[in-house]
Amino acid sequence: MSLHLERVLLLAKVPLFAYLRTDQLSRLAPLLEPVAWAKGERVFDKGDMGLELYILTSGHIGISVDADPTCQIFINELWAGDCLGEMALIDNEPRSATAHALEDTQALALEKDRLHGLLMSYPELGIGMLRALSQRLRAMTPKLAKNVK
Amino acid sequence: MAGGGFVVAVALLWIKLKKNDAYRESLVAMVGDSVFVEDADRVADLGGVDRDTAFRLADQMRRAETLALTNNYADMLEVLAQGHAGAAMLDVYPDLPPKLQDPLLLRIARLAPPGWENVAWEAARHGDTHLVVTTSRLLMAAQFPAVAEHAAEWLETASPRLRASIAAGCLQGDNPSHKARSLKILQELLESSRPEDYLSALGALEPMPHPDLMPLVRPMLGYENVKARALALAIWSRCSQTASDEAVEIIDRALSDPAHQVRTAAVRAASALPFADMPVFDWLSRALQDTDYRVRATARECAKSFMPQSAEAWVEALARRESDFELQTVMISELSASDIDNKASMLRQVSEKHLHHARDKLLILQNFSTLDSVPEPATQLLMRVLREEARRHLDIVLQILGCLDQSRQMRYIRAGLASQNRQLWAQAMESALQFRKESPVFRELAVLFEAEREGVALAGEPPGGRRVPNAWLKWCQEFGSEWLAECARYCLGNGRFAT
Repeated sequence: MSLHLERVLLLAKVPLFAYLRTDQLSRLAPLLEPVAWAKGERVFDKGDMGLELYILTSGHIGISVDADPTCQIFINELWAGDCLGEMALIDNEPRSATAHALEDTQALALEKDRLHGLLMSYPELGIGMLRALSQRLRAMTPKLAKNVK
Repeated sequence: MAGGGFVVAVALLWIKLKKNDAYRESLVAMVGDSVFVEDADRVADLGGVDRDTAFRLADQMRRAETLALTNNYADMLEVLAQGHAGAAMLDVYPDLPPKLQDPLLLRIARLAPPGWENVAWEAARHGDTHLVVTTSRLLMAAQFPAVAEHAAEWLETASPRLRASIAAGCLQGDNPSHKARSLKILQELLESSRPEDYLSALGALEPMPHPDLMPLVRPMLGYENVKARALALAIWSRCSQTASDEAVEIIDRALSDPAHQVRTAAVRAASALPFADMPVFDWLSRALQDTDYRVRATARECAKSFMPQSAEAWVEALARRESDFELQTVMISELSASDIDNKASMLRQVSEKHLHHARDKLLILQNFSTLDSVPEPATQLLMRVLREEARRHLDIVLQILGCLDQSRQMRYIRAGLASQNRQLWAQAMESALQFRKESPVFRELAVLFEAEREGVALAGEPPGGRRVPNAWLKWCQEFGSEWLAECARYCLGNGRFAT
């Protein structure tokens, strides 16, 4: 399958982009930059300033909230089609967690300024972003409840 | 009879005046509210207001603290009090801070109420550089004597903005020594390496281009500074000495510029170019699909200048770009607002074609679903695109129905049919089917909406017949949008459906 169509299909499955039509995704796809990390590398550390969000195209990422960035106790794991790093781009706060590449991982990166511009140009992205954050919150709720007990 | 008519007319006038009196307070309060909600429709419904009410409304501008709010009041005054808006704005103008005076002065100069030049001149003496620049430029254009007297002094001022603005104004005037000095000043500023110098010169030349300076402006189309590129493009388009093929190249390049400011300037420049036989629809289409909303908004704003002039040219343009949805939407709005004689029948024909394309695309989609195998990712994408495009054809039909019948009832029906709410949609369709004149269109719409939303099977065969996916893909390439054609091309090239 052509790389461009592959990217469009991938974006269509990401909650952030779920409310856009495929022709809009086709125009957005070239704005995303491919990035990659080898197994064992860290995508970002807790406390870093967030400049990009990432959409995983392959590989496996573990998310740790420990103050020590080398700690490998993961509260969440992400796979192809998952999105990470969007929170710091919205609230301008430092990264809230460390992301570890657990396998050789490839992703598409979207810069903060570009995301803000796209949010103005495609308001549907804002709804997609709320949906993605809501899904994440929903997924975290049982884990939090378990910890409280 | 004539006497009776006169009495009725006087009585109506008297009633109107009394009504205006009685409702003035609530009218002013309502407009005050509307300024905050920017509810232009609601305000436009009020109709005109008299001079006293216009001045009362303008008085509220004194309490407006932001530029947006001042602009909203000014917009409403222009809509509601066309004859008195300029005088009313001029009345409050001296009491506003310079940052609000600057943009308001542009409107006042355009409306030109009596004595505006003296008021503007007096305010500029206490204003900041920006206000002095705007005032001097507008007063020079209005040939206000006091500005001409100060021109020689201002041409030597330290501020490059003021120097450039006065120089650009002097170039349009009659004084030969001022003209020669101004040309030299603008040349120096354009040749300077300091952005504040060359941007001041470009900013001053934008509303008043001068052909002698074009050799210096032309290379700035390729400057690194984004603002310089955008301004140079605006000046170039208004003072073009370029051949049309070079113009095409310049606009093409500018529409691909990474900066939205330059792409926006490219749309405006393209709309101002005087040449015929340019790919204006390609440009407009690209701009309407731009990833930046500002470029898209400018394209919609300038669309009128790209539109055909004759009925034949309209028919051809609409037929050639049937699956360019953004362009079709804009063209339909422009055709509807135009004074082309047979526009209603043209719109009906366009509507029929869109219904036809929607049906064909939905038939292909449904027939792809009946093929034995589980669709591959590329086919899945193609099917999704077919569904999206069918929906867009239906949306265009709804738009056309709105153009043909602008009643409130039709507006509600269109909104209901476009809604995702199943119940609302059903109620809207039930009302729609009562419309005798458009009932065949609504009956077809009902069937196609059911097929698009619920997957209800359509009667008939897809283009090319049943179980011939290659023929469907070829049809998609020929009659689909560029995006659908790209997906179909990939599926065909893939050889997935060769047998």
